[in-house]
Amino acid sequence: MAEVNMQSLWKIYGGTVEAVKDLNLVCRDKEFLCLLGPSGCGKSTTLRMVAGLETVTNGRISIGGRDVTMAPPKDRDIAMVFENYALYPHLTVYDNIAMPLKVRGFSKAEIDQKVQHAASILHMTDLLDRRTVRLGGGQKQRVGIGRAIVRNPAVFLMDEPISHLEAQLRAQMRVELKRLHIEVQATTVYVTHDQLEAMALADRIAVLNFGVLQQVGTPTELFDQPANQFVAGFIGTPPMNFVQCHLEQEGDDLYARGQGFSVRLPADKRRKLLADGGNETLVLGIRPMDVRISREQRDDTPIATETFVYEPQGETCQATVRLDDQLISIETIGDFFTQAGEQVWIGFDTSKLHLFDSRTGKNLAI
Amino acid sequence: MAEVRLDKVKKIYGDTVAVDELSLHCKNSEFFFILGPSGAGKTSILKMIAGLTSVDGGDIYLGDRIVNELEPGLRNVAMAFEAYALYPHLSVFENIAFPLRAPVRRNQFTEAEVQARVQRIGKLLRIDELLQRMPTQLSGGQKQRVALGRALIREPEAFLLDEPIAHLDAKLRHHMRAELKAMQKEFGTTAIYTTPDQLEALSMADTIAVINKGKLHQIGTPLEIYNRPADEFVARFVGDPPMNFLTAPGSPKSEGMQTYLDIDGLRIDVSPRIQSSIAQQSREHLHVGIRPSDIALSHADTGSGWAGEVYLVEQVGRSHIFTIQIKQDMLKAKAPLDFEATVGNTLYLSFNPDKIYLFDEGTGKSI
Repeated sequence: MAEVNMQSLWKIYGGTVEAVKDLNLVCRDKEFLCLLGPSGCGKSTTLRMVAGLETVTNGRISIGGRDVTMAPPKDRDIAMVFENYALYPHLTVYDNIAMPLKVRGFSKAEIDQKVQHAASILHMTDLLDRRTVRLGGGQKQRVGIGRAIVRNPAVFLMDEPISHLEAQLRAQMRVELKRLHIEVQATTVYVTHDQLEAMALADRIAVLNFGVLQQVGTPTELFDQPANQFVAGFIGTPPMNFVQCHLEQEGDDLYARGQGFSVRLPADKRRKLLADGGNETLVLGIRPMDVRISREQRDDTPIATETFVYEPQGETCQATVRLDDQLISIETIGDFFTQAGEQVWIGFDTSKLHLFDSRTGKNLAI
Repeated sequence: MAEVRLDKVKKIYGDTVAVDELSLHCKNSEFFFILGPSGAGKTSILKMIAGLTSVDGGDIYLGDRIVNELEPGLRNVAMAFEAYALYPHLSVFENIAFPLRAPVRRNQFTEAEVQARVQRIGKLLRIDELLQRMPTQLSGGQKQRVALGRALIREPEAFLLDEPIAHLDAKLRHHMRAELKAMQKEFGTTAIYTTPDQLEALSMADTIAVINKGKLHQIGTPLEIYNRPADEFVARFVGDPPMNFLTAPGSPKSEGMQTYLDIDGLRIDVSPRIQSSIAQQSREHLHVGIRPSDIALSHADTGSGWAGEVYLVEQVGRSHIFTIQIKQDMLKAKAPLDFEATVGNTLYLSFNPDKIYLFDEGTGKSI
């Protein structure tokens, strides 16, 4: 059992810079938890506090039920994998992976058994005799991970381990990392700024911004029920569209209206918004894939707009249209075509739209 | 405004041939993309066009002139790099106006003309409210736009853009893509743009040249490049997640009217069109390419024989990407989010014969 529990965790640098603010977060036993956010959000600082590489200003960290807030890194039963792999270039893959075991005085036979096991998980058995200077970036990172695996730690801590690799290799390593987690079943806390990586890898994602936890949830929860406008804008590519709007009631119906559009809200959203009461100005959020587009006016595409840019992308395409002075992106199937300046019609899938408080950013429609 | 033409252009660094007898034709007003991985020779090509490095063979034309030996300052092309290099002590306005105030253009523009041009560029790039700020007060995306403004203000015959948005974050890159495409159309200036990002090239280009290791692989419109890749390199490089590849015997079998390839006892039907192409030449092996979005998945046995075990499930937006192990091969298939399966499940795959790509194993050329 190795649950990582962060309770009221604070990190303040120089008495004034609040890098992590009152973080309460649990990474469950055997869970793959991603800490996600833009640079400067406090995700690496959090991981380094769990690792014992940064002191904790205030609060408590426990691993497997044991308070480790003040424990040195070596007594925490964790293994860390960094972006830069810090291998010994003059040693072979085998000796690099064996290093942490040699340091701890394991017997030759034990070391061999563990190294061979790690190498087979990582598909590196053929490379064990090779010196690490002769490896590619993805292979080097696998050696780094191998060195973590042999220690059989309670928790893996990974800080952007693949973000510097080029796109195709990164996609490949993503698959291997997730497979590794399925096979090894170790509790893993993983830091990344890349929302696609977090969505693909994580059991749950914790989104941070300016040191404050914004939301914790499964990839689907964050994608479909973002707690606030920051999460909504950070998760998903192409990013969610945001436009200003206000609410107007007409009889039993509630409308979201803004420059150039008027949308009748479905019953469940109407109830939530009315219960929340009196918000004057709101921000309507809708994902590009939840906007319909057509070259003629239809019932489900009632809003008149003009194409600003058309971008073919192979299987899909993106159109950006002008709605008064705001731009709306739309993702649709690849054989739709339009060109700049053409009149087109759009419509929002109202079951997928979000309404955010324009001051607090809170999602009022979930 | 001008067309740009490269005729068998070569660039050699020591023993390395960075650009190997490359011929391109970028038409007037065209948004022309050079797409390739790092080390492909993209930046070398732009630098030769700009005159920042020597041409070691062949000719470069700007309009009708050969410019191989012409000084950069006299070529009337403007280059914008990924690193924006603004003058930190000058305001945004003065940074953009700088090329107009350069000694070679002294007295060419009145102060009123400079004002008018900077205002126009500022509006276009949506930085007109930032003109009095200093570079340190700008975000990365804003700085990039100022750097572009400085290139645009000269009204050159051609723009050369070297991975101009590569280092921006994903969200900003998305916006800049649309803005730059709209801007290029509005200016109507010939522009050559390098990128390693296939999505950027597909989205923005009129024409794409795919290069690798200094050699040209294909020139075409985005849809041609995506739908009819000339060779295996292009097929692997364009599309995300990348195309799947399987190795099949070189000669097809047939059953009645239907021709198929037999891959270790598994059958892939091919369309009559491909069938006649295969027949023209005998080969030991073929490479079969299938895009992840062209694979249909089912929990029920479809009788195709293509059964595999789910190795991994990834969620990307509103899609699931399944990595499926079939014998020794791993295939990726894309399905809507409501199609669910977990690691270890058996799934059945089927393929549309019209969406199968075949490549010669030796040359990599599309069949």
